Amino acid sequence: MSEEMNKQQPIDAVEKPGTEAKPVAVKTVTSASAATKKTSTAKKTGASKSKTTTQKMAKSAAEAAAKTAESAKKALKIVAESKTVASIKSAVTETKNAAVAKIEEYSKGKSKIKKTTNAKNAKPKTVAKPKRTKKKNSGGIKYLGGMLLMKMARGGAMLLRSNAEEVNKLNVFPVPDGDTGDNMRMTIESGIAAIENMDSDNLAEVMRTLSHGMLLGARGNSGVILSQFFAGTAKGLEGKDQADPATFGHALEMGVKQAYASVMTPTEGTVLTVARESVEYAVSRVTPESTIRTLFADLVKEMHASLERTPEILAVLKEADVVDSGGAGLLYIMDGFNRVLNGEEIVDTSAAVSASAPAPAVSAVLFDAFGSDSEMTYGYCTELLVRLQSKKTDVHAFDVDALKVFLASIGDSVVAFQTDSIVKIHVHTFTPEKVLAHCREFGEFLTVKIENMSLQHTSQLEDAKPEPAEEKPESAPASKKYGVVAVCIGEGIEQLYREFGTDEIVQGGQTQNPSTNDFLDAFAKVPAEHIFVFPNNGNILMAAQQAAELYDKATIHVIPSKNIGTGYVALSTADFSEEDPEAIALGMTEAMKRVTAGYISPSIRDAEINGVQIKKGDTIGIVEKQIVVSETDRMAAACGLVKKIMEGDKFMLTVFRGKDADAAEQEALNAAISDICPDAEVYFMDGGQEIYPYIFVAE
Amino acid sequence: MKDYVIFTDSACDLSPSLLKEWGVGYRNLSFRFNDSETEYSNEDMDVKTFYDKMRAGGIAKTAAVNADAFASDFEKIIAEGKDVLYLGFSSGLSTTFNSARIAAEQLKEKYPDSKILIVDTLAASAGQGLMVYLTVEEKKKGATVEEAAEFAKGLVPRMGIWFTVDDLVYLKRGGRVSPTAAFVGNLLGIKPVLYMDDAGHLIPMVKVRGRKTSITTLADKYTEMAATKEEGTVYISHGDCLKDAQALADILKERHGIEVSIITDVGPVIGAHSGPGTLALFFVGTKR
Repeated sequence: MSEEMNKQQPIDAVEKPGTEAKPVAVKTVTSASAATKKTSTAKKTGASKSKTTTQKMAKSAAEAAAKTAESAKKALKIVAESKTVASIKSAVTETKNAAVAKIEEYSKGKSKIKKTTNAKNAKPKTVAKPKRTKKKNSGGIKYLGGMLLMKMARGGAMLLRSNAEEVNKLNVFPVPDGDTGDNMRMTIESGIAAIENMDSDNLAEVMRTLSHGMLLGARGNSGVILSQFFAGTAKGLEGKDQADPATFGHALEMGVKQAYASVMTPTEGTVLTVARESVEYAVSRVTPESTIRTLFADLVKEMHASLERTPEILAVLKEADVVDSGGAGLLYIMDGFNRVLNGEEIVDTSAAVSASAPAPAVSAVLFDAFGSDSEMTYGYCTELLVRLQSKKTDVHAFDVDALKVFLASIGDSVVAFQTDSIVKIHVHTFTPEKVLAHCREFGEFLTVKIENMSLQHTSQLEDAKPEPAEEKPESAPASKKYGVVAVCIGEGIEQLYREFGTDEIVQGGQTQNPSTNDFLDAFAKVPAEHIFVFPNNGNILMAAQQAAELYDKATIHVIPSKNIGTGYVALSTADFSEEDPEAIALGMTEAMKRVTAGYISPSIRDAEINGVQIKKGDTIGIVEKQIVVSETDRMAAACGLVKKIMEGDKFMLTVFRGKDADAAEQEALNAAISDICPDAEVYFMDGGQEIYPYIFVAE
Repeated sequence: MKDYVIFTDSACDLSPSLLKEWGVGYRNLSFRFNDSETEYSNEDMDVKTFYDKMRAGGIAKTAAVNADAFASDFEKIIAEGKDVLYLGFSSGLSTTFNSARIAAEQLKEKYPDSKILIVDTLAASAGQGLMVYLTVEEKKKGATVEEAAEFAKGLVPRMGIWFTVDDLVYLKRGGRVSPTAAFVGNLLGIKPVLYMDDAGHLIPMVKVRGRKTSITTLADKYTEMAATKEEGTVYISHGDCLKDAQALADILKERHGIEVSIITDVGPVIGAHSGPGTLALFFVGTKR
């Protein structure tokens, strides 16, 4: 973002019906000049029409813009992965190029981005939002119907899709984990898939179908909450073929209620708060004059503000200097809804997005996928941001289509588009050097990313696609009383679970959260009257519970296991000869309460948490969501963790050895553990799990 | 009143000297390791040596007592002018008791005036031993052989026989336990707690995680099922794990103030099937 743009006055879309600025076509917007033009137009119109309202709205919208910018900036800071993330300023400066690219990219999707050049700058300045899209005359909508809702939902999904990676980065702990952005994206996309072939203007019907698709596709806790929010809203719209602002606002309130009800102990400072506060605000602003647009404008505006407040409510966010990721995901979706209402077309940059960011730690883990004897099979995923240079080419007349033709001649999966003087390129090719050489003929690189897809391929296998909400295959008739479904990944772990009677394994774990639908599929394969489910991850629990609610062919008992270790402890002591399923479930749940589990994991970025300085690549030990140790040396981290979890009267330690831990290291670790707790019974299990070299369970 | 001798077999895991002191006769079962033809009785091999051999992978086999051996033992007693009350090793685990039954049948015709009463204790190890002790006490109180036999039979369904093993593999190998579905799979770190049911069979009751938990669970069973928790006679036997036996005794003392009367070895005859690390608790309960 240029300084020049920074100096512009805050401005936002004019909300008063009939006062829209003239549409400006996307491709013709070249830079700040057009934006400036738009700014003055908007100001003029605002002044000439309803001064007070418009100015007030512009001001509040500007504030909202600032909030988004702040959120985006925080995301950027994480993206930056700068060695010293001491201040926003330095992070932004250090990663100026990346930031420019990100912001350009985001503003292409019409975001409002603030850049604080002076930390003490009290009045945030915002970028004038270039209006590049055609505006439909949708300003005076008094009633929301099904057709428009479908469009809005698609827009919301698209905007989140384009920004999912940013949401992913809003990560409290520097460990690989279930990515909120992807989870929420896949959740809403599952809803979108459900309405794909709908041709109905009945609001209730569309909302019901959309939310049902989301319920099934929900993954991760944020995805489940999101789907419940929509499901509640759908309930509130039941029997309504269209809704006025008051009705829709009321439905949203029901959505909030249901979202809260879906969480056993609702935590404030999360997506729940963001949804609640924004809906409360939007509803409070509804008057007889309100339109659907003003409702969503208020909603999104307060959502920005509320998201911005999340670190004030939730200390972990503040410490990690991020806003709540689930809240951010919801904001992108609702912002997408809002933009569609404003006649914007939301551009799908998803190909670029999905290819742009395999999480660093994941790629690190997957380096083995391309060894010294491997053949190049998949080529390189090549992604560039090129700044067109006027000395090399006519920036405004740049022919993207010709570039596409060239890229297609040396590769596939081509995506290329231009925003102002930046061209974003994505191509899969065996000869990335040719792409680089070609692109330098008309500009210089802002960013270059070339990734061996043999590695990426492996990670994409893990990247589950959202599934359309299909009819379930018929469940097998119950032929036994008890069955078990467990979520795990890793050969040894799966074997252990199977040996203790697990019928179906749902592939998944920390970085890959299965959907509600995945659970339903697994349940259908288990011919039992009662099925015990081990989600084995805090972020998978809610999808399992949601599936349990939806499934009616068997009684599902969700055993709230937080990791494969505690789940294993519970399962291994279960007595399935017991008549009472509740007693079995209770026994297993109680068994888990007696254990403390911890794990070590490589850190994927620098961080400072609980006063612990963490460097990227260090091994950190985590117990009950707390980082208890961080060491350069993995063995030292493991020992530190063992000391911690064996505190109290723990007498037994089970160690699940991960995929990348070898027997020699285990031997050494075993010896070290004997020194730490000489009287303890220690058992090593060959878990074969990804990411965590060791998972420890103390009993 | 005609005197009688209380007789048992070496599955009771009480020392020969103690049995002698109580005036109890006994017959040794035998065992051998499968790499040799040499047969031993519990008195022929030190338990430590025995368990070390097992830990080193040695597989021990046991042989039941045959009817002839019992017949000759019983005849000796009859020759002294005494009747016989045999309290034998569970018929659910060995054919030893059946041999005694055959011997008794055979001798009945030969010695119509003598009584050879046999009681299937449906117990083993010091549980059988505890029944022997209690019956001896009953005899001391003046019980006739019939009364003593009735008394012993009355104990059978009330004996609390709870134990844990370090590794279920020994019991499985000897075919002494048919594990339920719960006891298959990787049992690393998982300790079964078993009891002997009223048919004299070994039943895995619960599985717990870790040795310490299994020891506590044994104590829990006492707390739950002992007829009189603060008094009475409690025996413990162990397969070369005295420390654990002591720990169990300590828990019982702490909880109920009860002193464990005897802590004894699980001898080779039983140990061959239960393995090193077996820890067993015996008491008179309300039911099995």
